[in-house]
Amino acid sequence: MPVNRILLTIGVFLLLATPAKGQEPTVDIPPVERKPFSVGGYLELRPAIIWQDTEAALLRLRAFTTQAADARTLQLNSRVQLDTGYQRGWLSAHARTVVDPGYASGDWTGDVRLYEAYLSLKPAPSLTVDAGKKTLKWGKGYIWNPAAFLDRQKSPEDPALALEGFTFLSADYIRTFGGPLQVLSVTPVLLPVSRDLNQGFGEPGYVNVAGKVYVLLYDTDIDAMFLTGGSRPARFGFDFSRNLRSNLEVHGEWTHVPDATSLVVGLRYLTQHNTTFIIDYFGNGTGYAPAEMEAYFEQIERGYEAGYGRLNPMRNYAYGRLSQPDALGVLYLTLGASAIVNADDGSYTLLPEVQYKATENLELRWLANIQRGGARTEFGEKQADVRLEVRARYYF
Amino acid sequence: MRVHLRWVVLVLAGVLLAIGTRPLRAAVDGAALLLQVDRRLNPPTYEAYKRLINVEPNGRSREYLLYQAAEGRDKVAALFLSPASDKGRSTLRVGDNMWLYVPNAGRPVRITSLQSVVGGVFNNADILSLDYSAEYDVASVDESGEHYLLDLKAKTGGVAYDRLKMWVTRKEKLPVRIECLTATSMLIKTLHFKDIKDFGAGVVRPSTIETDSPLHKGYTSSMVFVQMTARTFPAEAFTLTFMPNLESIRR
Repeated sequence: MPVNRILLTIGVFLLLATPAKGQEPTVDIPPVERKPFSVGGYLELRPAIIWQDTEAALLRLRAFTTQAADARTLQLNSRVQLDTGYQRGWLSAHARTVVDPGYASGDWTGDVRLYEAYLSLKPAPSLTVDAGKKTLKWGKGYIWNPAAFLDRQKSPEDPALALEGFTFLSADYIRTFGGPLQVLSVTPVLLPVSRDLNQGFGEPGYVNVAGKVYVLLYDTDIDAMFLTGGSRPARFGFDFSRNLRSNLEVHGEWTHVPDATSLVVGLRYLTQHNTTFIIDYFGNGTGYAPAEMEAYFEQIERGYEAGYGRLNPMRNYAYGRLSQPDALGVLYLTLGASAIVNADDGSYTLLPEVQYKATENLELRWLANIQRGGARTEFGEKQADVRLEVRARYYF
Repeated sequence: MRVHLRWVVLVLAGVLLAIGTRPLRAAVDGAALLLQVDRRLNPPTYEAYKRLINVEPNGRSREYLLYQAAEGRDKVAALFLSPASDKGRSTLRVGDNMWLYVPNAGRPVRITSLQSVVGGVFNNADILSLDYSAEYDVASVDESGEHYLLDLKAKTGGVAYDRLKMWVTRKEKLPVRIECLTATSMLIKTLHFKDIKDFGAGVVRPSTIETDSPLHKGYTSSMVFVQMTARTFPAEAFTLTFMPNLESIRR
């Protein structure tokens, strides 16, 4: 009987090992009972090579020396972003920590920052109260957001990059309706500034008050926002966004600060071949005229006087971007290119890029930043002529 | 006698006229049939877990796991649970309006129905699909074949596909195939409904939707429903402001 027993064992094994016809593959569904703690984030490496414009005013300003700067420099940048969360009932807590170790020109640098850390109370689905350090990201523009009254400026190389927040108390109250007005939400914000808190925001010694009202009206997102309180000049504005067709979206922002009005208008268009075009125009009401900018560069030449060093300091800019996902017939390969043109002096920056998602959690990106323009133009006087960067980012 | 004959001729003519303009069997009400299809595919309000699988020509595949909540005919929200690179992303659709929230970017942005948040053959309108009767009118029903063949026309220009051809089983009133067409009848993609599964509480529907497209030769994408349960949600869950908190409605 041992032969029969062996055959029986083999038969049972084969029966168990063979999936039933039509049986669906097994899937691991995250537990319905959510764990109170969550951890995630990414690790990235970004080696870069920079060809410097040794004649550029901003290079001499930064080097603060008359000695010739290196024509080419190497950088090894990296980042660890750690997102942690805790949720129990109507209370939750979130923290985002960013570590930026780097190497450039023989020097190692390191920076650890708490980008966000806040408590969130949700006593009802219609009400959320947040307290702590957080970003709000107001505005609809792709890279320029004059309506982002309480946020830092985005990186033109990576507008989706996480930003460091400010510390404030805020709430979201949501109401829904039938008819043309579908949603109304109100977001009041209190943001104190002292020598120890939010020092980068503006003048200390004030409690700033801001607010935003959002409506979804006739299928259009509309926000109206304001900021007052003393640390920064009082301001107000509005933004909108709407899908005109199944492949066309338009958006805009308008803001007013004393004696200056800023405007962003743009659109995003998707072609039949799945290529996305984004075009934004930025009229910077607080920007400098070409003559003022030339005077600034002359000041640098004379005595390295600083003052105009912010991003996009002039008045009229245009932004264009195209991206082609699944390019060259390869899924997860994206080819893209962006350009920012200073319409006042004709200088520009070009940002071609290639992205590939090699595995589900590994992203590779190659990016070039080419800055061109004549003498005493914004991008012509930037310290880097060309910057090439490779980024490998692993999510966990 | 001549009078009687005239009456007979008139009555016969009337009968023939009536038979000629009205079929012997009552015609199918296309709009009612489409509503039946919608209700067979999902309860009016529900939550679901579904996998999206993109298969490349070389056989390699990528998979996403989503939690989805739907309320009424025109509101759908979805939260990415895996992989880690997409975890925490959420998408929302209210009628023709769509938004994507990426935790890193920190704010919802408008997206259009023809884009795809995951790549592959499925676009956003496929992933966040509404009731068909909310987006399409029935232009005609062909009853001559094995299945009903519905010719659907988009109600507005904001709908992803101008026309759909939908084959529906006569008995179960479930779709087996849908061809998505442009206004000029160019085929964009075909959806194949497979693997009928009992999800409990009377929900019996195809658990797998496979798609292929002449525009993505060699690629296939599948959407596999793993769970589907009737459930109601607070109206606030389907607002742009709520998107960062979508995880809180999952239980």
